[in-house]
Amino acid sequence: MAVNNVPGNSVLKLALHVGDSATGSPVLRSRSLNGIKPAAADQDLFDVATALAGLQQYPLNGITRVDNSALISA
Amino acid sequence: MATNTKTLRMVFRNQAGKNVTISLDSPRSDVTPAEIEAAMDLVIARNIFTSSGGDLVSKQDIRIIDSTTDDLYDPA
Repeated sequence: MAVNNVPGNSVLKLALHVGDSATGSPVLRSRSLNGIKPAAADQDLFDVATALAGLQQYPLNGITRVDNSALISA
Repeated sequence: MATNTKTLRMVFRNQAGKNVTISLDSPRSDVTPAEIEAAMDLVIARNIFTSSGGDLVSKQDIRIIDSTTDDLYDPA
Protein backbone atom coordinates (compact mmCIF):
# COMPACT_ATOMS: atom_id res chain seq x y z
CA MET A 1 0.00 0.00 0.00
CA ALA A 2 1.31 3.42 -0.94
CA VAL A 3 2.04 5.92 1.77
CA ASN A 4 1.97 9.69 1.47
CA ASN A 5 4.54 11.77 3.31
CA VAL A 6 2.84 14.95 4.48
CA PRO A 7 5.24 17.54 5.91
CA GLY A 8 4.24 19.06 9.24
CA ASN A 9 5.62 22.10 10.99
CA SER A 10 9.34 22.02 11.71
CA VAL A 11 11.13 23.04 14.89
CA LEU A 12 14.18 25.29 15.05
CA LYS A 13 16.47 24.59 18.00
CA LEU A 14 19.12 26.93 19.30
CA ALA A 15 21.80 25.45 21.54
CA LEU A 16 23.34 28.13 23.75
CA HIS A 17 26.61 27.71 25.55
CA VAL A 18 25.82 28.86 29.10
CA GLY A 19 29.04 27.78 30.79
CA ASP A 20 31.31 24.89 31.53
CA SER A 21 30.83 22.10 34.02
CA ALA A 22 33.35 21.30 36.76
CA THR A 23 34.92 18.71 34.47
CA GLY A 24 35.29 21.22 31.66
CA SER A 25 32.58 19.99 29.34
CA PRO A 26 30.28 22.64 27.92
CA VAL A 27 26.86 23.21 29.49
CA LEU A 28 24.30 23.87 26.80
CA ARG A 29 20.80 25.21 27.08
CA SER A 30 18.39 24.51 24.30
CA ARG A 31 15.61 26.79 23.08
CA SER A 32 13.04 25.39 20.68
CA LEU A 33 11.11 27.64 18.34
CA ASN A 34 7.99 25.94 17.08
CA GLY A 35 5.80 26.67 14.10
CA ILE A 36 8.52 26.72 11.44
CA LYS A 37 7.21 26.27 7.92
CA PRO A 38 8.41 22.97 6.44
CA ALA A 39 9.20 24.80 3.19
CA ALA A 40 11.42 27.41 4.88
CA ALA A 41 14.89 27.63 3.35
CA ASP A 42 17.87 26.51 5.44
CA GLN A 43 19.59 29.84 4.83
CA ASP A 44 16.60 31.75 6.21
CA LEU A 45 16.47 29.54 9.32
CA PHE A 46 20.18 30.03 9.85
CA ASP A 47 19.97 33.82 9.48
CA VAL A 48 16.99 34.16 11.84
CA ALA A 49 18.55 31.81 14.41
CA THR A 50 21.77 33.81 14.31
CA ALA A 51 19.92 37.11 14.67
CA LEU A 52 17.83 35.89 17.61
CA ALA A 53 20.84 34.34 19.33
CA GLY A 54 22.66 37.66 18.88
CA LEU A 55 20.17 39.29 21.27
CA GLN A 56 21.09 36.87 24.02
CA GLN A 57 23.81 36.88 26.56
CA TYR A 58 25.17 33.42 25.80
CA PRO A 59 27.03 32.44 22.62
CA LEU A 60 25.33 30.20 20.09
CA ASN A 61 26.71 26.68 20.05
CA GLY A 62 24.62 25.13 17.33
CA ILE A 63 21.45 25.33 15.29
CA THR A 64 19.27 22.29 14.67
CA ARG A 65 16.41 21.94 12.25
CA VAL A 66 13.91 19.23 13.14
CA ASP A 67 11.57 18.37 10.30
CA ASN A 68 8.40 16.41 10.93
CA SER A 69 6.15 14.60 8.57
CA ALA A 70 3.07 12.50 8.89
CA LEU A 71 2.82 9.17 7.05
CA ILE A 72 -0.69 8.67 5.74
CA SER A 73 -1.81 5.73 3.68
CA ALA A 74 -2.92 6.81 0.23
CA MET B 1 18.41 32.55 47.72
CA ALA B 2 17.14 35.22 45.38
CA THR B 3 17.66 34.53 41.72
CA ASN B 4 17.12 37.05 38.99
CA THR B 5 16.04 36.19 35.46
CA LYS B 6 15.32 38.33 32.45
CA THR B 7 13.13 37.43 29.54
CA LEU B 8 12.89 39.21 26.22
CA ARG B 9 9.37 39.06 24.85
CA MET B 10 8.88 39.94 21.19
CA VAL B 11 5.26 40.24 20.17
CA PHE B 12 4.27 39.99 16.52
CA ARG B 13 0.90 40.33 14.87
CA ASN B 14 -0.21 37.65 12.41
CA GLN B 15 -2.48 37.76 9.38
CA ALA B 16 -5.52 37.11 11.55
CA GLY B 17 -4.67 40.15 13.69
CA LYS B 18 -3.72 38.03 16.70
CA ASN B 19 -0.58 38.40 18.75
CA VAL B 20 2.20 35.84 18.53
CA THR B 21 4.99 35.97 21.10
CA ILE B 22 8.56 34.76 20.77
CA SER B 23 10.38 34.76 24.11
CA LEU B 24 14.09 34.46 24.69
CA ASP B 25 15.80 34.03 28.04
CA SER B 26 18.80 36.01 29.21
CA PRO B 27 18.91 38.88 26.73
CA ARG B 28 22.25 40.71 26.65
CA SER B 29 22.38 43.49 29.21
CA ASP B 30 23.48 45.97 26.55
CA VAL B 31 20.95 44.97 23.91
CA THR B 32 19.36 48.01 22.24
CA PRO B 33 15.75 48.43 21.11
CA ALA B 34 17.04 49.07 17.58
CA GLU B 35 18.83 45.69 17.55
CA ILE B 36 15.72 43.89 18.73
CA GLU B 37 13.60 45.65 16.12
CA ALA B 38 16.11 44.69 13.43
CA ALA B 39 15.92 41.02 14.49
CA MET B 40 12.10 41.18 14.47
CA ASP B 41 12.13 42.76 11.01
CA LEU B 42 14.35 39.90 9.83
CA VAL B 43 11.91 37.35 11.31
CA ILE B 44 9.06 39.01 9.39
CA ALA B 45 11.08 39.39 6.17
CA ARG B 46 12.26 35.76 6.07
CA ASN B 47 8.76 34.58 6.92
CA ILE B 48 9.79 31.20 8.35
CA PHE B 49 7.23 31.10 11.15
CA THR B 50 3.63 30.19 10.85
CA SER B 51 0.91 30.31 13.49
CA SER B 52 -2.72 29.34 13.84
CA GLY B 53 -3.57 32.77 12.41
CA GLY B 54 -1.14 32.67 9.46
CA ASP B 55 2.17 34.41 8.82
CA LEU B 56 3.70 37.02 11.09
CA VAL B 57 3.15 40.37 9.44
CA SER B 58 4.08 43.18 11.83
CA LYS B 59 5.77 44.10 15.09
CA GLN B 60 3.46 44.69 18.00
CA ASP B 61 5.46 45.01 21.19
CA ILE B 62 8.90 44.49 22.75
CA ARG B 63 9.33 43.89 26.45
CA ILE B 64 12.14 42.85 28.71
CA ILE B 65 10.70 41.32 31.84
CA ASP B 66 12.90 41.26 34.90
CA SER B 67 11.83 38.87 37.60
CA THR B 68 13.29 38.05 40.96
CA THR B 69 12.54 34.76 42.65
CA ASP B 70 13.07 34.30 46.36
CA ASP B 71 13.43 30.63 47.17
CA LEU B 72 12.47 30.59 50.84
CA TYR B 73 12.49 26.92 51.62
CA ASP B 74 14.74 24.07 50.60
CA PRO B 75 14.34 20.66 52.19
CA ALA B 76 17.54 19.70 54.00
